[in-house]
Amino acid sequence: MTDGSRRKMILAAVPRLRAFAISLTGSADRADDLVQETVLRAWTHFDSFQMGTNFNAWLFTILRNLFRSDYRKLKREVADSDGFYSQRMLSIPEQTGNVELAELRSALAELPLDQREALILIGADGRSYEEAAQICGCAVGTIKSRVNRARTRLARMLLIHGAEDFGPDAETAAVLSRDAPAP
Amino acid sequence: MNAELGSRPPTNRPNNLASTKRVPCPWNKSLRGRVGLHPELSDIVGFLGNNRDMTEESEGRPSHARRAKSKKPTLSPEIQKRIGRQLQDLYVGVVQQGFPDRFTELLRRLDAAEASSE
Repeated sequence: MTDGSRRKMILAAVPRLRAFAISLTGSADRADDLVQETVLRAWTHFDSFQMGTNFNAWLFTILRNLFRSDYRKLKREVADSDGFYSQRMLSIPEQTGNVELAELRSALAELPLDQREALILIGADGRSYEEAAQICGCAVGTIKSRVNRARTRLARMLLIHGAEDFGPDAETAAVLSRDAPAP
Repeated sequence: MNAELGSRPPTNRPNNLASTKRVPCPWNKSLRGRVGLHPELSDIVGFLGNNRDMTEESEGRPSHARRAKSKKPTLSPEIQKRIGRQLQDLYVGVVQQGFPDRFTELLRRLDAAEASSE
């Protein structure tokens, strides 16, 4: 069967796969390697895809599992103490030069992996909880709680980062200097 | 002299230039974070589809200032919406970037290889 349909189906999914991969890895280079692996895997295992089910979710599952096994390997080799992923997250090409998006990228990198992937699937990719659960191989309730925790944590981080990045206005500075409790 | 002042902002107090040392102060941080975010992003898209209890709040600083006193910043609906929107912006931005030619090329070669083996 080489009517090109398999090729078209996979190719059509590449942009979203890349976005997912970049969000997971924080690195465009690593993301593209991951997508390439996913494409190859999907191509050779196309027979195991069940027609009538969600093809895109199937591809996401492959990519996610590949990433997970890479991540485990990498963690064994170099502990992420140097913030490999966190640092890489910052090197995603700027799309807008928007300060807030840059902050969001680095905050996202600080989320635990479970929470990050759940948040990305639900909050960014727009998956249903059921699809996200299928992709991550866990229960719907687990996805929900991960998303909630991710959301809370992210908001908290952004509030704090925001405070650091925006200089204090005169009034706040005055309050801080006069009124801060003694350590 | 600082202890009894707590964390309430003074309304009218003489400058005390002797204590200019900055000490982290959670509620001030959260307040400043809120104030620092772009107001124009506030009106859109529920954060992660969680639109429950969306109260219509204006960008009222006073209510924020009061709420921000608690140690944990509360997630106001507008902050949630804002972050949700940013997350989507970030993602959609990447989706719309397109992708390197290597994927088109890879699939073309896979297809060709399969065709020639049949």
